[in-house]
Amino acid sequence: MHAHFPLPEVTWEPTREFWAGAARGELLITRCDACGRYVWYPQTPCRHCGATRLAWTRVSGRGTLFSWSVLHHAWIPQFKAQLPFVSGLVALQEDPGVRVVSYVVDCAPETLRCDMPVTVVFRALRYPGVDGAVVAPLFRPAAPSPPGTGVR
Amino acid sequence: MTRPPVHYATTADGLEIAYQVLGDGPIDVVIIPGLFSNIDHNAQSPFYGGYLRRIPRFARTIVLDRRGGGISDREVGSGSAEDRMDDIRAVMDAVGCTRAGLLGQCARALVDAARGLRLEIRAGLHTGEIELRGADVSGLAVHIGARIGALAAAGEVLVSGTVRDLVVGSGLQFDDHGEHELRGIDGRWRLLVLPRVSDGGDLASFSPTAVPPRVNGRARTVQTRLDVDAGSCTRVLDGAPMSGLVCGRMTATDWGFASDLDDTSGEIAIVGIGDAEYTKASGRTTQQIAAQATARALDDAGLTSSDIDGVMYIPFSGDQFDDAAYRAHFGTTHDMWVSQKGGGMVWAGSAPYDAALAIRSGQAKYVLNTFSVAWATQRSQMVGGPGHVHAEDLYKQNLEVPFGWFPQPVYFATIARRHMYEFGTTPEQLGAIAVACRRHAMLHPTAVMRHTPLTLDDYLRSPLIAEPFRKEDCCLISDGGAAYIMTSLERARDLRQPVIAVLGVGVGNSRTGAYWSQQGAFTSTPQVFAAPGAFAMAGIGREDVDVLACYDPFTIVSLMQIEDMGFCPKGNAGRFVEGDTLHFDSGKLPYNTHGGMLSHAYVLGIAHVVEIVRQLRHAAAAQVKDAQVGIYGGYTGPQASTLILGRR
Repeated sequence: MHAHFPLPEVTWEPTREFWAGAARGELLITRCDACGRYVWYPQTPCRHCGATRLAWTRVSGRGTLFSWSVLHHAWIPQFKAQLPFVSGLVALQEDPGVRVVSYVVDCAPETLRCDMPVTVVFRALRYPGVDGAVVAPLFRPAAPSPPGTGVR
Repeated sequence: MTRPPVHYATTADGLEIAYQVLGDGPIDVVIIPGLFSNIDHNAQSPFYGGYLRRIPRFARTIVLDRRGGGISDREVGSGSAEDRMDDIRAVMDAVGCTRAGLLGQCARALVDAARGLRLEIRAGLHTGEIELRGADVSGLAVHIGARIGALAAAGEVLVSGTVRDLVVGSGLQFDDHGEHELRGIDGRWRLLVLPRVSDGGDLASFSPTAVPPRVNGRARTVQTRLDVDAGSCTRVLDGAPMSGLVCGRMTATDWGFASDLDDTSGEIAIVGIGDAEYTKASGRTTQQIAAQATARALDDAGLTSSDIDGVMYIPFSGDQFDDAAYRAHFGTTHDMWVSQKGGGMVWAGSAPYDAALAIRSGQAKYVLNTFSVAWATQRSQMVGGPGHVHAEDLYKQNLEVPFGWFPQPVYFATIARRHMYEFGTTPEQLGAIAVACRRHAMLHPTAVMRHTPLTLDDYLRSPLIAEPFRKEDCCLISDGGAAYIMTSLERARDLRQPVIAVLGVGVGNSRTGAYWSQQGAFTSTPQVFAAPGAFAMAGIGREDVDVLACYDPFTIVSLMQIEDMGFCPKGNAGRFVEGDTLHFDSGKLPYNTHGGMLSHAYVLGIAHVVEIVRQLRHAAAAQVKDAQVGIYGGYTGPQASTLILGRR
């Protein structure tokens, strides 16, 4: 386990761009160069077409709350101070098959519903006894996005 | 092939709709009738013939003739899209089907159907000339359609500009989806997207008249790629309209697949079983535990330590009982066949398959499989435990743990929440599983929780630890282990115990491995892929099963495996497990009759297999009356196994 656990190791190559993007306020997800499908987690070969090059792509940060848990127990001691908290999966608007793991913030847990719209917000993660802070994409409830402009 | 019986369902408006039910499996697939379908002639059709041979191997397959067509009531016209959905609903009601994968030969029929049922579809549409060669189809248009489909996300219908031009005036609204390169096809292609099905309403305008059924007098040339996701059923139908190839072929967007196994039915038997002590923290090592279980299994089988010439284990979580440990403990020096595809979890169910191959080829005569854990001891010493292996995964460390999504109780609480949302599963239904397991543990002489009763009220009052999970949804942390010995059926007949034969084995795999967050069918297990093969190998049906034991780290994992194995329709397991269904004396589906990992001991499935053998020997504590066939469902997340045992 690395020294900053449970913070991420932001220099670990496979997810370095994710955390670098978050530091700039951007949510980046990998997309296959060959077939154009999003591939998450950032692992090759592409699950869809078998190609081996992925490109980090900025996404809107909008999505829906796929599912979540409200934690009342801390399996990792550094999480104890934030109990209870909500951790879950956000299905991205660009491809609901991509689910981003994150905290759900700025809302009472009892107001959460599966498939409710959420939007990204960037906040610093800090844990007691762990040096430093890392800016991370978190999600909060959002108003439904306006309908797209239709073309004929 | 004999003609399957034809039944009739009555629609709300009183029409008789002809249908047939083919094959069986944990999922239902409804074949949406095309304009000219006739269930009497489907098997000869180049469009349907391939489907009808392949799909019934893994799914209960329902075929019907639409109103006004085939051998259904013909006095009426083909009706509106809504009428045709009524036809499908009437047939689904008649066969007790609440969720189904849909397969059709045109995108229009499927999109219509998706409107009426809660389904996510993925489709790519293009139109152009095609070449028909027998049952096969080719031509550039097919490739373009497939490439467009490959770009569609779940719930998305992408169309080429050509399709858009053809339906001008239909009232359909498309959103621009930008220009794309289509792999292997020249140029850049302007694509458009139909509003998402799950956004509601908008597809109502996609009426049967919107897309011309014929273009320039040719046969339909719209190509589709469809991803029908109905609970556990995710199948990619690549170039579906014409090819008839699609369902037998796994493609990359399927969330999982079945391992291809030889038929080993009835070749071997389990002839010896042994338990170590099941305890809380005991200070024992995993090898000490396994050695104790092995000695008892030898004694049970009436074999000596030098008879064992094959050893199976898994290099996982502490020192397992490998061939060196075996020789050191028993003081033998003989050569042994060694396999690391043994142990607990999924392998407690699949080891008999690999043992059967070794025994068939003469590599071994008597094969031992063991598994043991000392997680209770390790946890008390802060040196390991079930979360450890996940914490060491670097993707989890960097994309899950920083957000508190860790460890297993949180993964499966999130799955349980989604299951509740999709299927209406309740805490009381999860509680029914915990209560049944505890009742069995109270009857079992070696269960860790044999002195601690649990009622449904106790369950509902137990503390929430990771909502929707309570403490009693989660397995114990234990020290313990078990062993079993396998040999050929012939040799088994000469040994002292009743012959418990291995009738069937199946293994299913998830393409997303242990990353539950990304699993395509989030509320399913790879039992969807494992169970059909095992039942086919054993040549039995679900109704033949007397007792079931599944790897049960959490109540929801029991619930999902029960439905994924096909003991009830997908999504219905909550209602299915209510009341006494799972109790050993219910006469329904006795389940984890030793108490499982929730109440007996958390030894990762190896004790489940021992319990099933004991049940079939008619020597269990909570004995199921006259049990003849028992099943173990193994699970790790990335994989699941189904092991079918039968008394001979």
